[in-house]
Amino acid sequence: MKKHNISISLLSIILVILIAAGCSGCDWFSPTNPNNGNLSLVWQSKLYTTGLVTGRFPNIIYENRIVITMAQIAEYETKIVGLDIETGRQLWEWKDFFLEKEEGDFYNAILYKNRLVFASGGRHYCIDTETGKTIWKNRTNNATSSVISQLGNKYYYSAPFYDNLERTAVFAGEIETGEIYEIYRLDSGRTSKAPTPFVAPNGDICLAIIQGIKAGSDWTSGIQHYAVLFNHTQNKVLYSQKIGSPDIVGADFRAPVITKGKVYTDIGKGVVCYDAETGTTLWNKSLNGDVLFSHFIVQDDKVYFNCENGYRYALDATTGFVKWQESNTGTCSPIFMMNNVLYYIGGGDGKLYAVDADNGTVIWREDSPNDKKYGFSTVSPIGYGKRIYCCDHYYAYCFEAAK
Amino acid sequence: MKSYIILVLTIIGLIAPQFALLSQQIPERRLTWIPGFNERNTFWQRYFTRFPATHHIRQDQSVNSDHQSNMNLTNLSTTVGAPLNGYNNEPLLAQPIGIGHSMGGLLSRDIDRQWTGQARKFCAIITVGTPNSGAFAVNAVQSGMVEQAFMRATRAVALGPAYDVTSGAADLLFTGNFAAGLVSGVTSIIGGQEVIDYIGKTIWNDNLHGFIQNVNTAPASEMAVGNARMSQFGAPNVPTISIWGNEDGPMIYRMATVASRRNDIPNDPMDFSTDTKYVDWANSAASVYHAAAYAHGVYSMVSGLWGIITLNPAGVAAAAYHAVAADAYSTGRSYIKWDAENDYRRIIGATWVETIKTLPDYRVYNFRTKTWTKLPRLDDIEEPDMKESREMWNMDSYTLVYRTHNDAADAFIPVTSQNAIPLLTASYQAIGAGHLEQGNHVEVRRRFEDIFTRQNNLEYFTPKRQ
Repeated sequence: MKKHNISISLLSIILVILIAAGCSGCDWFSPTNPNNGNLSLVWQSKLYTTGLVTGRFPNIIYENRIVITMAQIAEYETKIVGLDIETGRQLWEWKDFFLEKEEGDFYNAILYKNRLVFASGGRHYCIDTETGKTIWKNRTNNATSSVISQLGNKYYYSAPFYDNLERTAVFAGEIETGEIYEIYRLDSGRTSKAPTPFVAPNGDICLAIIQGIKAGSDWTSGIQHYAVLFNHTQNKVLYSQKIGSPDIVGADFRAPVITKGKVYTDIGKGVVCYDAETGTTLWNKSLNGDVLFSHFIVQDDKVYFNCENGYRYALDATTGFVKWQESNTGTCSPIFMMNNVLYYIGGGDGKLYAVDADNGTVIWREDSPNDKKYGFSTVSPIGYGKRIYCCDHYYAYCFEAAK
Repeated sequence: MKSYIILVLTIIGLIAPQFALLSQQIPERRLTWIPGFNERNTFWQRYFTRFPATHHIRQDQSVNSDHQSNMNLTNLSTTVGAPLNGYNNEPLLAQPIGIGHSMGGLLSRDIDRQWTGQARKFCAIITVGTPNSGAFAVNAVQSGMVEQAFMRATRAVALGPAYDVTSGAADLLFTGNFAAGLVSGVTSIIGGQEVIDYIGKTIWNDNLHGFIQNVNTAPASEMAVGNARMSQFGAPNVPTISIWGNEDGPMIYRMATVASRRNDIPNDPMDFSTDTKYVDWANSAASVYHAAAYAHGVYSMVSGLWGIITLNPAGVAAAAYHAVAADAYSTGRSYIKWDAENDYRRIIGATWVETIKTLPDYRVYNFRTKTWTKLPRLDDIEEPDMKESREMWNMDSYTLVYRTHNDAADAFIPVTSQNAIPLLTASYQAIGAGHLEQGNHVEVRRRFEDIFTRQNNLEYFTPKRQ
């Protein structure tokens, strides 16, 4: 009997040891790491007081010293913060909005010297990026969208008038003073993309404008788009050329991109390239989804974008032919390119993507370290040196870049 | 006196434009919010009150519709649509957008179908998480697929604990009472399954069957994939945008969490809804099962060794019993962690198997180019004569290939169904927006914001307030 008890005791000890060893592989002892180990975190900075960041603001880097992004105070209350690029420490905060409860949906912002300008709903702001103080702010009588473009010390945007929302015009604003004036009113149709300003070979300032006119009385007739070149210096329209076919999706949001004498723009469900001097269409790539939110970039003679049809593309910037096409996740953030790597936030999964620009293959795609529910915010990541900066709904992050 | 007049005129000059600005008639959009099946108008209350504060939306003229779901779709859409103040000869920018969640999206499309032209109720539609080609979950209930999945789940999850509860065999065997232990062990292994099946059947018949069978009543039954009613919506008469939810896995536990607190979600602060409670529970349960399986495995090994060393057949029998119990727990863990999600994805139609009838020479290898060449599938051959001859001559040589598809879904409706609208203007996805969370979700709010910002489509353009 005694021998039997000893055996039981020994067996029990063995059991305890074995179970303990086995439990080391149990789920509750395993720290959950959502990443595959590719993201090397340099710093993270808390962006919320209560609640998660619900608004949108582009990540901006000022003089390679300060990362500017949006933070949350309370429900419907946002603020803009400047973070030290090396440590993530908050240097300043700004919350001088006109509205007490500002949702903060800003699609882009522009930087000129130490001035950061952004606008939404007719409310325009300019803040000092060194101190976070308001330089000027004003309210306009036009329903400014959240996308503005820039040339030198002026910024440009298109908007309808509050007193006649069916008429749109192109406006210019002085970054130094905040003074805003109308420069071109469309006689028909609408323009809802920000115009792209550039300096013509003769020194004149011109604006590439995309105008949309209903192709018929019924919505199914779609919208016919026109490439308009407006000479701001001489105050006259140089050409208005039809581009693409009528499409039921309008061309909205981000400004066309001009490089090497060519204008690239998304219209409806497609991307078009036309000659900047004549407005002649050079190529037109039709897609079965739009690129309104993800938009596109033109670099190294390629046009990169994410399409709502669930693919990411690289087109030859000269011919429009597909260089590569890879399956993707749809409503993504705009793309940022650094060292031949495309960075963006995937729309369907909220992951940070690093994609080889040469062939479209994913180098890595990683979850947010803290926000497994929504993932990273679908605003464009930004980079400097060998680091990449982005946000989720709780923190701003600095990671080591893929290359 | 003269200076007074100048002062007054100056003041008038300064103030007058402000009054003129104030008196300008900025169109205020009306919105019609239609909740889905078994949802009340509280579903939308966050957006219903918030957007008028930030955008030119007239809340007092907007409608947050409440409706009863026990009518068929046609009667429902008539009931919801009839009192709506539609076109009203107003500018496009003031006309109402119909916004429907789930079945509410179908109602908005049906209202658009019923009232057209000057009588139209909407100038545009936004569907959110709508089963535009049907909800496969309805088919799954009707075909008995859900019942089968429930029984499988019950057995997988409950069998391990049932062995422990019903037997006591291990103790008996350990003490050397071989006969009693063997009888008890065999009884528990055989009886455990019977007990579980009985309990599962009882729960299904007494509690779930009646509830689940609700889908056989209108309007839910009409939303079955393939139901003739689903093909009657046709192309919309007005622009239509789909916001489709894309929920993360495991959908089954997220959906269960949200379903358990669906009445609380509209009252949550904006964007604070959480759907991880049962995900965490499932992880914990899987861990417990893992530990139990491991413990039984160790018991099996040790008691087997003990039986061999002491030449006691009771030990070997105990080893066999614990091995079976370990397997049951291991199966339970697998079910909780993976198979439950797989079953659920099949039930909602997010995972589906395509059967391809193909010829054996479907792919051929070219040794010269060292590449595989893909021959056309039978379904891809368009010429009728050629297709017929191939069918005749190759009747016996067809092979069936099964290809599994995994679609994104909002934990209830797959993306293909959410976007299945002819002439769809655009579709935008909302990350992490589960089907029942879409009335109060950060990404859905952003998609509404994006759509309202689209200046080029006046049917949707709803400017922000100054």
